[in-house]
Amino acid sequence: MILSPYQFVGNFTAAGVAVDYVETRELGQGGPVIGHLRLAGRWVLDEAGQRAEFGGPLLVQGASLLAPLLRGFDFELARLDLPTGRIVATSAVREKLILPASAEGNTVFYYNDLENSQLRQCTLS
Amino acid sequence: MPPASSQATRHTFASAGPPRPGALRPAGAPRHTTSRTLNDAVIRRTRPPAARPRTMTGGTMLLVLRDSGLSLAVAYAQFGEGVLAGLGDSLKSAWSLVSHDLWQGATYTELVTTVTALGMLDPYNLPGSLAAAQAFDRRWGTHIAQRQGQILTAIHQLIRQIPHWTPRQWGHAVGRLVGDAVLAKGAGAAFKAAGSVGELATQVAKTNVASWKLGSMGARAAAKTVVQKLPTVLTDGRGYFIGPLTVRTPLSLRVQRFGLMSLSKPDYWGPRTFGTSQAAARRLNAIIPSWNNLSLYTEGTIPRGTPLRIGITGSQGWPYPGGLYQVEVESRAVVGQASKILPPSTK
Repeated sequence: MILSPYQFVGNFTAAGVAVDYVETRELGQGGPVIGHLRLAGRWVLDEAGQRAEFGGPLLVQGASLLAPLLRGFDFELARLDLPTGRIVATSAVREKLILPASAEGNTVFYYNDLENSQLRQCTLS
Repeated sequence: MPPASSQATRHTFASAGPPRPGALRPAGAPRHTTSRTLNDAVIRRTRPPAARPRTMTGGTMLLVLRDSGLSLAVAYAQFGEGVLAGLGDSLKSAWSLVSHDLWQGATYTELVTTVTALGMLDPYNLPGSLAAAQAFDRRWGTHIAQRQGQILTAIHQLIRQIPHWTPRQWGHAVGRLVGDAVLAKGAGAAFKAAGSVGELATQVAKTNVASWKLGSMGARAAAKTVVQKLPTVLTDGRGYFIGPLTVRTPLSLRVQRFGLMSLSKPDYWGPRTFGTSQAAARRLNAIIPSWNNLSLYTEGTIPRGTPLRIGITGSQGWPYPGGLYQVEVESRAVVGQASKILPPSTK
């Protein structure tokens, strides 16, 4: 199955925490869908205390949620702690598109193109 | 009454009449005059500025830049630290522009031309960017290459005026220049901006003992950063140049769009100006390849009175300058939709 930045599951329950992907919009004409995340009813905030914006798809890893975090018009990968609803780690990698595919420990495998042509990897810290 | 020997009383009805304007000047009379039936009006040897055609071409600009002894890449590198401050100063008048002047046709045309010219300007490859602009002009009948020439001339003029600036002074000055050029309503505004910024910076430079020479190490890296960031600084978080307006459209709008549509959120639509041209959509709608392969095209009409958000597409950096207007509207409000499937575009 090809991972898409336009259509993905955004509202579900993981590790007993309700994940709500809300106030979605396009990032430019025909661009990836972005929106705000609410974990157990709490907004996920960035370092500045503002509601962070995330792309998709979202990936669950144990008690963590991996999601592309929007920085300007680029994405970086972020690990969210589901119980607390906080961003606990981000990637040094920044791409115009990040589609997380799988994760092993701190290593996340992702695609950076619509065709899912080449699997890449990065670490979260 | 003047004395009889004065020049004003020498003529009679039998003579050729009073001396023509300039006849008694050291350089003699103007060489090109009309007959007396046109009241001795002097014909200018050159056409007045208002009637003079736009003749600045890319080739001329390249020669000027080469003769200046400075490459544009090095000049850009000096912008560095103060460029954002300069842009900020320039943008103080942005709200007035957006809320009033922007919606006049001539203003919009000039603005789009300037934004597009800036976005298509690649300082590492001036011949290439000018050739691309000229090809674009031939295809669409625009004046992008000529506007690039004006911007480069303004920057060149700035460079020649003040050779010893601190990096921040350079950045501030050029930030002002570029900001003013982007916001310019008239074709000559870039020149005007260069002059005013130059005067200001001259005063600053006079008080600065330590001069800073051009061509510092790392110039190329700095230039790359600035060139990539400069156009996108003016793009807001929603992808608009400066920002959008929320209105009910007073007219029906013929619009088009690339990409899927949503039933639950507003989508971006652009004007139906270039149809299915993927190259135009990439550049003027700033749709970057990573986000959309432009394989689904839909056109339709937004009825009069529909609430929407409207503004100019902001730049996503080289080579996606934006410049066309775009609207955010719920796609189900767009009537008469017709879609086409196109070959995917990867660049």
